[in-house]
Amino acid sequence: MPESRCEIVRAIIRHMPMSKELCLRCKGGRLLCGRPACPLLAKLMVRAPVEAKLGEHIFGPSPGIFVGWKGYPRVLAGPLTALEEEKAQLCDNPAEWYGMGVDEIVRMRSMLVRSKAEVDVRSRSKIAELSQEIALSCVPTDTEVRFERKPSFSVSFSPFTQPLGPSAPVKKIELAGNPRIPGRVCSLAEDEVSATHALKVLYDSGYDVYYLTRVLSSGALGLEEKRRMVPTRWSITAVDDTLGRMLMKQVRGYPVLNEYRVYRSTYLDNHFEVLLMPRRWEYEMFEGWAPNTLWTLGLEKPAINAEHEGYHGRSDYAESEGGAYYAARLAVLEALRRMRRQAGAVVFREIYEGYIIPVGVWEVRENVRRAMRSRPEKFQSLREALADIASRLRIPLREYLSRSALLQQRRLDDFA
Amino acid sequence: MRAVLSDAKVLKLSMDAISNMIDEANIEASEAGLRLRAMDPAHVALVDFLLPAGSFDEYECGSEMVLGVDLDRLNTILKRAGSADSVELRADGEKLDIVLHGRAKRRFSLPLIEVGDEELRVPELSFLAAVEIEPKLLSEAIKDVEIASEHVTFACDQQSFRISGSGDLGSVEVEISREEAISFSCEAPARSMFSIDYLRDMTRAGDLAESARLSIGNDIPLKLEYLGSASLSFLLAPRIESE
Repeated sequence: MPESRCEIVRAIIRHMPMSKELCLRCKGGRLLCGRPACPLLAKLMVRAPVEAKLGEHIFGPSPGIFVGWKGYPRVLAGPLTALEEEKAQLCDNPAEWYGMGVDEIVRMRSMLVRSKAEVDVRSRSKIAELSQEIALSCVPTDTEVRFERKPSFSVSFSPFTQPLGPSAPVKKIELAGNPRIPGRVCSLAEDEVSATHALKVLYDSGYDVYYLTRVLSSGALGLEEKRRMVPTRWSITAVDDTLGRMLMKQVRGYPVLNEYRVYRSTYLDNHFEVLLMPRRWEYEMFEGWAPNTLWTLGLEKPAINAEHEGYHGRSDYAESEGGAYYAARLAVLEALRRMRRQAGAVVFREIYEGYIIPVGVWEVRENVRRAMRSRPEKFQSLREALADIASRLRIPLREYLSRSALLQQRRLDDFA
Repeated sequence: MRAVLSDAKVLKLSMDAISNMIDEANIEASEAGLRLRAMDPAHVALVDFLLPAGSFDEYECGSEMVLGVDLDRLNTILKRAGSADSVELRADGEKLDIVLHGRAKRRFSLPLIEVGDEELRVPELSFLAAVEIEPKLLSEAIKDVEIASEHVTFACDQQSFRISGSGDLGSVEVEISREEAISFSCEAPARSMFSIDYLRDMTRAGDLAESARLSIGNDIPLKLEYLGSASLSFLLAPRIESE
């Protein structure tokens, strides 16, 4: 028991150093963090059912794969195999998770066992080939796995990827079912086309980001000599960025929106406000943590990250926000393409104190997607739109404005 | 239209600065010379670039023409010109030929494009202060301020002209005294703040002129003019200064 708490405390410390003292004092019992449920407790409750199903030998459907990044280009890669057959499809498809609680997500992900084999990203080893088939299949493929040793229970968290469950080095792995690989994907994987081009074609034929992330990660795409596995966390942002650039090209050709709009969504203690402005495409995203919450203990000023890009897009990486910037941008661009309009977009993300465990960048993408499908408030002036947004933000609007590249910039038209 | 420039530096530097802000524009060719006026997509900056007929070694323009050009492509081609090459521009109704004369004759052909003819509403501004300084002094000051901030404040009073910025990482101020400036006039204290992204692009063209003339007021656009054989001037809308 104490050893398992150690793991989660370690995971939390890794991702959120601020919470160390608090969790150690609370020990999961007093909810000092203010969350409705302790992630530590959630973990203990899932432990028993998972452990009962873990063994040196498992058989089950594999909905996806995981490619690690440590040690690149020699990485740990392999399929994720579900211990609960009926949830196999769901547990690796974040597109369907919106609305689930963090406990439920952790429970579901802890039922997904990760096989680890050390491979070179360029290798064509049997396990690489087999992982690729699983990744490309649009339904989970039955798999039989023999591990070197029984996988030990664990759940680990990352701001990029979905929580990961138990794992162990793999001894032998066989497909027990036939992967169902769509013909379109098959032919693109055989063609000599760039990964970028293949992603665009597949996205336009209706494949979602999550499937494409898996396909790119498996090393199935790209020119022959460049083909390689892509660590999952890099693959996520590579897909968001590539598709975002493609959408941007289309969106820049549409007429400008004729009013100010405000969209919003709150999920997993992340609150989003999306402002669309009647002007040509440009984008800015803020991430704000209220002062004196778990994440910002001892800080008197709110902590705010801001990143932006102009009409032509950006060429450097959005360092301070990372994957979240690209995930939110994709969701906004998807909506603009649906509307056939271009606009200037500003995304406000406020992270509340209840967001202790990072669940991965999908939360941002799905939250913004949800916001953009809701009915917007409409305004005739920027001032009114900002006043509306300010009424729901916890950090004073001026804190964002003073850091904003887009909202504080006046236009020459204002002086003509 | 046919024009020859034995020294392509002015054209290269200007296009390098402009093409970073503006992706496509109409170049008007007339007896007077070549002129490009355009706003960036965000309507924050306006460029007015004039290469007078007299600045070319040879210049002929029978009738007025409007050349819609992808500036990024033009810039890419001009970058191929070596320092000793002379540049010849030739346009018919469909394409712009750029011929680089050096040890070989290299001909690049750029198809003309249809550029949306947005009406340019150029603001009428009355500035409070105007300062002329060496272009290098300005571009270096922008680089100094960039160390601490994404925004630049220009301020002027009777004694000096100051370029400054501050952020979470500290602050920077560059002060140019009245005596140090090439010319200096200030009716009343003036101060405005601007985005460093734009200024960085604009000051790339610095080497084309002997002097850079800055005109400012209070929270109104900045006018930056590089005057030489060609004239390149910019208007840049200010940022709202927050407390």
